[in-house]
Amino acid sequence: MTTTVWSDIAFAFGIFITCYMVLVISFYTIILLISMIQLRKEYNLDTDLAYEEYLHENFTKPVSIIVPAYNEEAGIIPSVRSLLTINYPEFEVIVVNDGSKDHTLNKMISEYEMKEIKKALRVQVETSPIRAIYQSELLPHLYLIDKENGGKADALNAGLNFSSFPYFCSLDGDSILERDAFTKVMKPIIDSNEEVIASGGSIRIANGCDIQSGRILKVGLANSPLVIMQTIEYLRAFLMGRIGLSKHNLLLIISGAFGVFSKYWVLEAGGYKRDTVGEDMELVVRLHRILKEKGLKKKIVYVPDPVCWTEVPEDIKYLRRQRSRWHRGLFESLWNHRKMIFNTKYGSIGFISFPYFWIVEFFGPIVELSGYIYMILAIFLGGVYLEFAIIIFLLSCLYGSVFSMASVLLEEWSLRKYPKVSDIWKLFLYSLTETLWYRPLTVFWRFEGIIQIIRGDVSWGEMKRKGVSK
Amino acid sequence: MFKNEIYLLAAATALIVIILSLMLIYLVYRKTFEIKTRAQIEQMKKELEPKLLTYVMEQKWASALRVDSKVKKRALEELLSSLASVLQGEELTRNVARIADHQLSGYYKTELKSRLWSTRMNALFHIDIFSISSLEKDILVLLHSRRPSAEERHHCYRILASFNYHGLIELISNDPDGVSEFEYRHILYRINRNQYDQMVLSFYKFNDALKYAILDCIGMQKRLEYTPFLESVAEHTSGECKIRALKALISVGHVKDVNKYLILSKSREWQERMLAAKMFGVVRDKSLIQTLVELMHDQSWWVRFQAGSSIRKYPDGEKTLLSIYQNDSDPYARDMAWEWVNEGDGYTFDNNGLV
Repeated sequence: MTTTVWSDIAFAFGIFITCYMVLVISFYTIILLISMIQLRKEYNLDTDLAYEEYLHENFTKPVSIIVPAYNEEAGIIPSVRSLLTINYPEFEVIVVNDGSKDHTLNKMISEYEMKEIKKALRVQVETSPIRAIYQSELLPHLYLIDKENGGKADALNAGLNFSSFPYFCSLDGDSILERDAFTKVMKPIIDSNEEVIASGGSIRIANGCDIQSGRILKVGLANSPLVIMQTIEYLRAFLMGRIGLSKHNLLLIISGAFGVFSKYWVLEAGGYKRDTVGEDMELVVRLHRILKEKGLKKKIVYVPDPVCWTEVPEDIKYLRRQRSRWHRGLFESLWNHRKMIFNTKYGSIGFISFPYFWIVEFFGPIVELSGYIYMILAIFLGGVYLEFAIIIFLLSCLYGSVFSMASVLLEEWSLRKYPKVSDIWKLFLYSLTETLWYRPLTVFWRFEGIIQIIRGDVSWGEMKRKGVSK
Repeated sequence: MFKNEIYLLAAATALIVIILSLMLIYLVYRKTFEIKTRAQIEQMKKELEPKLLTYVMEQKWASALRVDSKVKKRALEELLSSLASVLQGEELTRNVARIADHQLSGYYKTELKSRLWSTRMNALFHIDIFSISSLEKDILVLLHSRRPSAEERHHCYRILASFNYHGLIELISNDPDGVSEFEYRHILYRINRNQYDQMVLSFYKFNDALKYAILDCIGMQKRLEYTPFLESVAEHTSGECKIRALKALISVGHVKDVNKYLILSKSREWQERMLAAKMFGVVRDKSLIQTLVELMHDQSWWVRFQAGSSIRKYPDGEKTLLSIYQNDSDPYARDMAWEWVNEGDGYTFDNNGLV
């Protein structure tokens, strides 16, 4: 009797996993098709010429670049230097020292000859107390805010209060920007006559590229398998996922590494939320929410052109921390705004984006992990279970490897950023192996994130950076 | 039990992997081919560059400049693009346009008819930077033939504006999907005096976006001759149109009689009070200082901010601000005065920040 019950459960479970995977695969296939059409349209477009006219200050909007810095003495100087060389008519750089315990503040002051200025701050979002505000004597558009520690979101809010331009960009201290990053990302905002209120760019991996004094000289591929797999993952996430979602205004994430927002709408939404691990996603969800609540037809878009290069962890230890942290961030945003799911008031965001992020992104690791366990057990159980295991394995090959391979091809078919033929081979062959090792690893790390949520773990986890710039 | 399904799925997976692998082989082949072509183009550029420079500078024609292959076309196109962006002087620009017209216009004519959107767009970009006016008709054909994308239509308008095409106003004011204000600005930035006059004459017939763009462009280009027009619009309209006209007047930097605008400092709209403050800073008429000091007590932060900035521009401005800081009873006015006393000129303030 018990055996029958167990075998029924195992059978039902097999069917459940199979259905889940078929559903997800169908969803991805649709997104892949949308992305293909979109990317192919711009194939071989001479983008330098396309953006030329946007470099005239009369045709752009000025941007405030906010760089939150906490214990960044190692990278802050080259990072700011790289920012100061961007190709954009009007911008200001606001570095926010978030109560660093190292020499971030002194280094900035001495390198850029910062001098304290008196300024009546227009407090629009509450933040931890500001100690002083500095302005560079060499470059009047470079500012430094020294404040007490309050976390990244708090630092960004302080920058927002100080900023004087209508658009702002939040930037991680370790990102390398393309020279025309702002022109590319601002184009949809300007073209749409401000109907677009936030615009994010494609993030690519800097490890393996030849970078000197904050500039990408040559795009390349790293040697470490872990970094190559992350490269494929980023291609897949940005080229396939976000283009498809953005096309229908379903985008819930603008990466914290690089995105431009309309200051007015961010303030309207109440600024960045403190004490959350994923403040970037949380903000985008909140923006969508207020837009829908006010019944406005504003949009949040994504630009497929790579605009920002960032360093990813090469060490498995840090990658693991990063992934479980991301998963916790995802949960927080989804949970905080849980009333949006299947709520007619929020339209497609409530009926497509939210269910997608809950079912595929959040619960995915649980289903996939149980799938792996099922496959292992099936080897011992044999019979119909083994057949299920084979089906699940084949589906997960489609799910993991095949979509990644397709993304690599999509990149080579459209944007073509990798100059060497060997890079394409490498990316393709590695993506073939994704299901066998990398996918299970990330599934496990994300599952750990879920365990941490249940345990109430809120740690950020230290990140170690080597620095990619020479 | 599921044997058939497994075979089917395995076959499907294998088939997809094979298709993807074939695509990979094709893409790798294409990449190798393109790397080779790129090298040929670079080589060709090296050969053509001195000859092209001689032609552009001294108008000495070399038969090697005749385009007879795709590689040569790309090489010449790239060389001319970089020349066009650095060259100044009418004659040199004319020489660039002439050789582009003779050697490349045939290609662009065909490319404008391409099925690929990006090919048509690239052709438009090049026609624009080389000013190949002989293709005006082809551009009009593109505009009218099928339904071109918004990007194509807009770029066509910009090019036609540069060519001073007489029917432009009608085209842009009747665009099927409407043109954004920003795009209008791009177009208007290029038109000549005659076209401007036409625009101003028909001003009130246009849609709002075009109206705003006209006002903005007059301001951006500081077209002093249209001051009376701007003043009339500021006087006879209300809302956004009035605000744009005032902004344009401020940026042109000239008004006939500033006293006419004193009433704005009492307006119910904070934007108008702020623009009044800004205008009084541009005009710098001593009699306005008192009004500016009053505006330092305004309830809106932006008005106080602008009043402070304007007072600072007066010869004794710093003294006035210091006196507000030391003696005024209004803490908000004192705060702002304190900021402008200390600020110096490093601070940039932008109108667009008002959203």
